[in-house]
Amino acid sequence: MRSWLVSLARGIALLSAGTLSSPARADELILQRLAGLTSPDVSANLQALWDDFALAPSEAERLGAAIAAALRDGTAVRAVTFALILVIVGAGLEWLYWTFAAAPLRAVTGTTATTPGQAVGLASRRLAYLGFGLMLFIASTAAAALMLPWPTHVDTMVIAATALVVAVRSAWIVADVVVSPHHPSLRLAAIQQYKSKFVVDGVAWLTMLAATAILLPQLLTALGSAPHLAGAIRVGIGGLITVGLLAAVLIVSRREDRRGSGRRIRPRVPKAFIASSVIMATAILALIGGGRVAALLIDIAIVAGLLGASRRIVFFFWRDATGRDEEPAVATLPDMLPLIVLALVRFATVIVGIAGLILIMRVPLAELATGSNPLAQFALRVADTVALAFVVYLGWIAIRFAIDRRLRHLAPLDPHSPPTENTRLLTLLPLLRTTLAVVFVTLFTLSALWTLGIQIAPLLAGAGIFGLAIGFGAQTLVRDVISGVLFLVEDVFRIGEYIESGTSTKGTVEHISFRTVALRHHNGPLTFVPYGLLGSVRNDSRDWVIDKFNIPLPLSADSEKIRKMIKGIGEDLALDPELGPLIREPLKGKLYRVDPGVKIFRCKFMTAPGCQFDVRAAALKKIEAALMEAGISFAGAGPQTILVRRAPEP
Amino acid sequence: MLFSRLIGRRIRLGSGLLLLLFVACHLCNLALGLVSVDAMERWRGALLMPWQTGFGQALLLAGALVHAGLGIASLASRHSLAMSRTDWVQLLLGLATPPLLLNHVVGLQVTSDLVARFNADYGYVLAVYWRYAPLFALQQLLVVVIVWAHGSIGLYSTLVLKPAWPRLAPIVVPILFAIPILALLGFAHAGAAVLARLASDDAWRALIEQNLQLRQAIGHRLNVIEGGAFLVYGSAVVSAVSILVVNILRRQHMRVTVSYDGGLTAVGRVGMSVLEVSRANDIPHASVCGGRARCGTCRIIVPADADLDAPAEAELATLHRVKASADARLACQAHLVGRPVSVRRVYPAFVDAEAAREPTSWLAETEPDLETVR
Repeated sequence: MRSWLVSLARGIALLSAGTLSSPARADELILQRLAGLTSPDVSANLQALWDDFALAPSEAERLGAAIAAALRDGTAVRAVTFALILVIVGAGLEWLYWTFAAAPLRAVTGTTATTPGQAVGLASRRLAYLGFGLMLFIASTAAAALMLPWPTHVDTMVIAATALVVAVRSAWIVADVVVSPHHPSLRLAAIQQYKSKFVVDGVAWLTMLAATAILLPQLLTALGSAPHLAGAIRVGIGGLITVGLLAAVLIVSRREDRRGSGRRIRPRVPKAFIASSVIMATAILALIGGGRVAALLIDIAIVAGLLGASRRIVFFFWRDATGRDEEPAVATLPDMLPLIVLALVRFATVIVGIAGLILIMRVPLAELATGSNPLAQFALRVADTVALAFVVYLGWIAIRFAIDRRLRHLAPLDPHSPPTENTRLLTLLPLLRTTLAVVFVTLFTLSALWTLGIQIAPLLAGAGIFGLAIGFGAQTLVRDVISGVLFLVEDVFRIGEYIESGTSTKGTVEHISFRTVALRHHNGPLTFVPYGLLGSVRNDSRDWVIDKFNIPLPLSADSEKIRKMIKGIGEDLALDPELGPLIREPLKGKLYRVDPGVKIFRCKFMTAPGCQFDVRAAALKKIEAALMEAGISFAGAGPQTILVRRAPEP
Repeated sequence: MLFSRLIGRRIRLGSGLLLLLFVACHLCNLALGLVSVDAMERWRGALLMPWQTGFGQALLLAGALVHAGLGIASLASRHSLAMSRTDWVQLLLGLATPPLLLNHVVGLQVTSDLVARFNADYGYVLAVYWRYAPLFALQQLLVVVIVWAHGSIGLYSTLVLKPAWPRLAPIVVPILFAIPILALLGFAHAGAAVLARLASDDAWRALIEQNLQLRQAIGHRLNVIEGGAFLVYGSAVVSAVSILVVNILRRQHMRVTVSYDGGLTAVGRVGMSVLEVSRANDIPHASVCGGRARCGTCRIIVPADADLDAPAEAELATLHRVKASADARLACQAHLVGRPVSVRRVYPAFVDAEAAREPTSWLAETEPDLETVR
């Protein structure tokens, strides 16, 4: 057992040989690699390629002879016998598992999910069932393999073969769970039904080819010492993968064209063209420039593709649950959560992409982090800044959407409608949003500069000299902003209130910004008043108003009768369906003054703010009508001249 | 049809069991290689000799011919290729067995029948396979696994429907696993011993090589026999497949619509069974036995005037056994005739063999909904 573990480790080491190497001096290495990237030694690579194909047949012959020898001395028969035992154990136990698990799996796949959340839940259950089967296969195969006395070198082959099976099966399981070809309601990705089977098969085949392209050449190099044959096989399988990918792109794009005919509205990005160019470029680069440049290109292409599709992918989980198959609907008013998830996904994609780049370039990270290369230090700081930007962005999205949602819940704000209890929030929240944006940007800029190693202190000190000059200029600005903050904190006015400022400007508050308040005069003009100039503010829209007006009547009018009449009118008005609710204290009138030739009656009532004009008009109308009915006319304003004309004496 | 489907099915099952028993004896004998080659030889008298008498050989030959013939006939009488995964595996394993096995049978049994002096003991066989013809050894190893998998799946799918299965399973399943593994281990162990003896014991090696020459002397005749068998088998398979293809193509345009409960509809061809239509269209449909009229889980409720062919003996027996209502049919036996039919599935798609063992334990009206699944 122990020796077998040793040989297992050796096998894995053999398989992974070539992907690991101990770096010499990090900085030089990177420079070397960067140089290698920009000017790949094309002719040497082509020569190596030519050698691979020229020498492959002889190596194949040698390998064939070795296999024949292995057949004669019983090694091969023994190896196959043991391999078949592995098949019986692994496949048999898994089959046994499926005789129990198939029914629950069918139950899950037969269920229709109504919401994306349910689909995710069911998918994870399917993944659990399928994954456990695979795990059982791996575990039982490995356990059986550990018990058998394998001939030399065969253990490595068995590990490689198992790795191949596991890779293909896991890829297939994941693709099947995500794409779910037979059950559109369980699908976890925005893939149309007609593509689904194609995608799953494609993923499985591609994985098989890729795994073979990695494992077989390594086996040949490590065990058969046939590096040229390995190279030739790698190129051959690479060609197959290229052709397969191109065919897939062509097929998918043709089908899309066919389906899209007649309803295409706007020209789209020529995705098929770009994809096939990238594939071709990768293949050619892999041929002439060595694998690394090609891997870089693949990494970048995958990251770009994922970033392009990320919105579709993320919003797929927040689609409305009407179960529309085609064209997943993107919500018109996006929620906060999906946007945060989208940001996370994009960030993670970029990070993984960069990690991939680092792996491909074989950047020795540990040495870079502790080393003194200024370029490396700068790169690390940039990475810090990017992370900071991401955190700031997330915080900003969270706050912005919290505020927006609160605002949406309150009501749309119309400054000229009667005020409600929410006007204060409606006034303050947008201002808060802007303030926070400024704070976030400032803080981020300062932190970013600091992280990047740019000293802020001198910057601030330098700003001090100018600052003095600017400070004098900005005096009023500062006064405006601070008094604005105080006005808002003290709740002096809100949007929609009618105010009169000390500078005799008046109007309805329409808009509040950092420095000014916009007042709409009742005649129309909009006045922008800096907070600093507002001075004392008279708010006409708070709590209640009392309105008073005079009625001049002739001296002959009966005061008591008039008082009762006005009181009656006040009671009538209080019962009015429209005006009644606005009136706090009903209309009353009394004799106020007696002037020569005229009795002045003063009327008074209390209403909600802003309603006094309507109530007064209605009251006057009614009073006039009542006076006309009683035969009393209004008294003239000035002294009355009475012309008495005596009739001529006869 | 020459005889009823029910009898045909029983003969096929019986012949299969007979062959499986023989294979089990053979593999047990091989497993004794873990002890020694001598032990294999000693036990050969008990385990294999009975099969190598005239009667035993006749029985085996008849069993093999009947089993293969009925299998090929049932392939030819299919109306579509919509089969369960297990059925596909069984079909392919079954079809692969005869050509892979022929070489072994002809090389040993036929040779010893033809040449009296030919001594096909385990020492000779192992020496040939490990030293002189290793490629044949690989072929035989493969066929061990194939035959055993085919037999085990067949045995399992028969037994799992029996009420006694829960008690049988703890005995049968370990045996199904142990026999091939021990046999392969025995083969490997004995092979090492034989290779060592070949290297050290020259007299014995001369004996083996002499035996080998005996076989090569009649090599031409053996090749003729082998070729003839290949020809017969190949033409049988080819004609079965062509009948199947012609049947499918002939009815390509004779479309029939089947509507299910839950608003599902599917399109099939005339001659397809309702279960095949379900499978071809990915409509969830329970079928524990895979469409052999054994389990009764695929049964459907159909209107009295549904345009389906009349139920056969096997179907009626199963329907009676599971106490189905009068308007029930087995979806695997109800073939489309021409007019559209509408059916209602009785069991949810996720029932397992328990529903076949105890038909009354399942609520007939269970619907696959979220609550049940959770």
